[in-house]
Amino acid sequence: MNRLWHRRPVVFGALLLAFAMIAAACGDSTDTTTAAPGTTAAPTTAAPDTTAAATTAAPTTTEAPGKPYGGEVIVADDQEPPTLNSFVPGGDNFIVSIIGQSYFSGVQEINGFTLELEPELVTELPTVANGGVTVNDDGTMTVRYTIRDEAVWSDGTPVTGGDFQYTLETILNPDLPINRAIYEDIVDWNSSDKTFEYTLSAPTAQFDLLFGTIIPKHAVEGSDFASDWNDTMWPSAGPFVFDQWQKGEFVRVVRNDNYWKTDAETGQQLPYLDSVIFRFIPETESIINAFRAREIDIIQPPPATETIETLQALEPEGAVVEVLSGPVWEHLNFQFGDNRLNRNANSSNDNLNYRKAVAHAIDKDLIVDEILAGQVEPLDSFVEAFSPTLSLLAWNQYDYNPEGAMQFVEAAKADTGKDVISTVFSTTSNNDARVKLSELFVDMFTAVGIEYENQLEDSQIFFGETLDFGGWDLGEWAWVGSPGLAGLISIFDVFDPEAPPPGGSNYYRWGTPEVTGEEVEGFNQGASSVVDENTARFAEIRDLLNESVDEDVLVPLIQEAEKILADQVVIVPLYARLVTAAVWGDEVGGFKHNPTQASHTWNMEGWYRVDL
Amino acid sequence: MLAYIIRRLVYGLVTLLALSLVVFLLIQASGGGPLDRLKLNPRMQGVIAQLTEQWGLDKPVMQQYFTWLKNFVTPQDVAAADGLTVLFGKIGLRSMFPIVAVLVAGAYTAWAFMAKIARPWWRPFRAFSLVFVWFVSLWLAKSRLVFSLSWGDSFRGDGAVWDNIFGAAGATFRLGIAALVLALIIGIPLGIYQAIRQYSFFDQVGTTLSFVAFSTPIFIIGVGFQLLLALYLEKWTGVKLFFVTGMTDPGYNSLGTMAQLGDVVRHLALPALSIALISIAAYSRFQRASMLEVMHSDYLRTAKAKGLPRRRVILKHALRNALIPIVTLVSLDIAGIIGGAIITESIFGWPGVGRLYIQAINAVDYPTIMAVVMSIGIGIVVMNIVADILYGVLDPRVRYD
Repeated sequence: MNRLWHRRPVVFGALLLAFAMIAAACGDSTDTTTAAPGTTAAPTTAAPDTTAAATTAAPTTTEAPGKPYGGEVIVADDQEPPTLNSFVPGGDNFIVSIIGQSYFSGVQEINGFTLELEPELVTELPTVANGGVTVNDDGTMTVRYTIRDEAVWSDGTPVTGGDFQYTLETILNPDLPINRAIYEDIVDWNSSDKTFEYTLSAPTAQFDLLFGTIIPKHAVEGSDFASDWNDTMWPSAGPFVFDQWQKGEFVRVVRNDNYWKTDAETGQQLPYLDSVIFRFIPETESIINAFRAREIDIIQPPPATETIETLQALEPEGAVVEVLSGPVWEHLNFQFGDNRLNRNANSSNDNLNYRKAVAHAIDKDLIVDEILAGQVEPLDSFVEAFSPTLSLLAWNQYDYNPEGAMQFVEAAKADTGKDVISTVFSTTSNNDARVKLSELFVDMFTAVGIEYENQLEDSQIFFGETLDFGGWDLGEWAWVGSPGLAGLISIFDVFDPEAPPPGGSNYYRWGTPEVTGEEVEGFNQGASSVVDENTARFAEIRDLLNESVDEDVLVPLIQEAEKILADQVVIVPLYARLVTAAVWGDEVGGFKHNPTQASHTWNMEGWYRVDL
Repeated sequence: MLAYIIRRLVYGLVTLLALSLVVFLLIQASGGGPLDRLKLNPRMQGVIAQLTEQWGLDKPVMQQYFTWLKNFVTPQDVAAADGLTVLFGKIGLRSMFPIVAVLVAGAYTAWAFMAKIARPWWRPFRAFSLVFVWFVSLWLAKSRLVFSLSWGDSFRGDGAVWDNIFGAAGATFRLGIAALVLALIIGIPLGIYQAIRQYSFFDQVGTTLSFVAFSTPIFIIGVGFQLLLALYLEKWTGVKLFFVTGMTDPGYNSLGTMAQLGDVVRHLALPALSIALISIAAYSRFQRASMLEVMHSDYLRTAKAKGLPRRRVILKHALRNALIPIVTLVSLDIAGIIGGAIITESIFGWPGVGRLYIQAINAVDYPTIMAVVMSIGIGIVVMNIVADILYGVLDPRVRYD
């Protein structure tokens, strides 16, 4: 004691430090918590209930045969949702749908094994063949859903056609800033207890992506839809129910005891877990460290090759790492509008031989090796990225062939009368992969006799101004594809020669007409430097794609459109971005990554703790 | 004194106005907008048009600025009623508010008794003002006054900016105060000891380590602590002392009081230590230099010659004067707490203002960016004035002319 007293500065210091830590620790940590109405923040510990309409009796203890019940899984992500409501601004963030897989439910879901659409709340996906889709004599199209008898909300209320109708009416509410594309073409609808039917003004394959999330009328009607469902969530028709959102830290979802689905393999009632926690950690490095420390069970980190290699090094310790090609596809593209000349006064983009020279000059294998560490193959078509069975692989005609590229360069010089063919390449400077790509291009272009220059820009400038006004010569960015015919047709829409910005998304201005009278000066430009029979045919195909629902009609049109884009070298698809997920396989079972927008949480009802 | 404070406040106001205009124009000039992320979805054209109108993005830049400025200074809600505790819950400083109110009153009391004002009106004014300040502080603490400004809605879609910033402020203060206290109680004694033992082995090692800490990026320090103290320490010892990320365990609410305290400390330790390490280096260097300067002054030589004990010479005569330069540094650090430790919060998944700021920048969320910048600006202006007043308290030679 005496010695301690003689060391009192140290002791006082230690006490002060302890006091400071305690004082700092005593701040209210629950201030920004929001919890689901009628729920408590504490996780449920009750055994799964058996009230749901299951095909088999649900086990009530963790001793049940088959996969074990109970436990919690923690998933990490680098984004935090701005809102939980997927319909309002901010709800389009990917993390909203990642978490939403636990409580959102709708007409269809994307199977992670087949990448095909499957029915969720409905008995089957409507098609012309099964009578769910009817093209009427007056040129309209009627779609009919039949709702599963066993589908109920988490509060026990059955899912009805009224919920579908309420969802539609909410989306069409002009006061709400909701994406109404396709929905606004619905001219008539009616519902009954277990059916919902709507009529579109014209046939379109786009209907198969509608009603991906259904809103429970009985819980939401009368609320302020734009603001009441940002921090909490309505009753669930999915495997889990929203429980708690600790802002800046995590969202917790707990078991939906009324979930209707059973495990096709074991017949057990789903879900297996008591709860799932989504933790938000902005830094990739920290996500990896938290995973390594087993503070996190499942991660889907940004797919940098270093990250993948770090995770793969954990496989001997029990980690399972899945690396897949995703639906986000990077592509090289040419600008055909006037403003490209501000970037490169010597631009030769309107010359097909030059574009073919570029296509042959690109060594895609080297690009994939350097940027993706050779984890996947380069793309021979963008269709390959998300609907591989429909792809013609139309760009495989452009192999890496510097000699051939040089011949095309000479042909381009002869066509244009230029002594020098030059390229100015622009993309986003704050994306490491794209910067690496620009570095690789220096040698590739120079080797075939093209004078080459990089002019990279911050993504805010590139996507904010350059893209809108077509202020690039040779550009590079990515689109996101969706499985199914509707997703594919959406992508073809962006090349629509009749849709220049700002109204349309043909930022390339391939075949676009003159634009005048726009308030923002940059949009006013002359007609595209390429307007020919190919652009005319493509516009025709685009219209036909949006008028039919017959797969026998659509598939040949899709393939013809793909061939035109490839033959005319409007773009050059490079590679699909990787998607990666890692799970501690000795802790969590049933995990399967889904490379589409359904994401790694698509089958979370089937996850279970193997260490229970 | 009062005139000086008023003059400084007016200057501060002008500075803040200039800051807001420059930052607003810079954001506009930097290219890109909050709706750009929707552009690559061809189906979102209608939503983009609707939000552009709703958020006033189609208006001229200066009109947008003045709309923002008007909203920024317009009170949206001022009330003091029991029923509004729910709103206070949203604001996120509920539990801290009584503490802050009492701390402010306490600080004023301390200053009032330390200030050397030889005016006839001073004593009655002090008595009256102390009663007034304590009355108002205790009333505020008890009534839990609700005050909010109309800082608009976030363009990210996550609700009112005022609520978001004050919701994150609790976490930021927790981290900032812990780091500051750590830095003060380690950095300043370290600097003093190094000055007393100038050129000793301890001083040389301390100097070297200070430079290493000062020149190491916070990202490296943070990730290094994660690996060393959270990951490998557990592997080596089998005991998990610290967590890699987060402010609390998801099961925090179901823990007992002591377990909650332990959980908070185990989450707080690494981020606080990461920030503190750099401040310790800075404080110890400044304190050492300042202390050395004072220790070589004539009046200290006189004090030693008079036979005063060494401890008294150092603590009473040297330290008080040597603390003056540190005041500015610490004051600005306190102001910096408001902005949050942007990188540290991101590394450790800490739900504070710094992380909110990063999210806002990524989403080109003008209202949030402006609110965070202005909060930091206000903090710096206020703390500069506080520092200047403290100079007078610490050094009577300083006059407020």
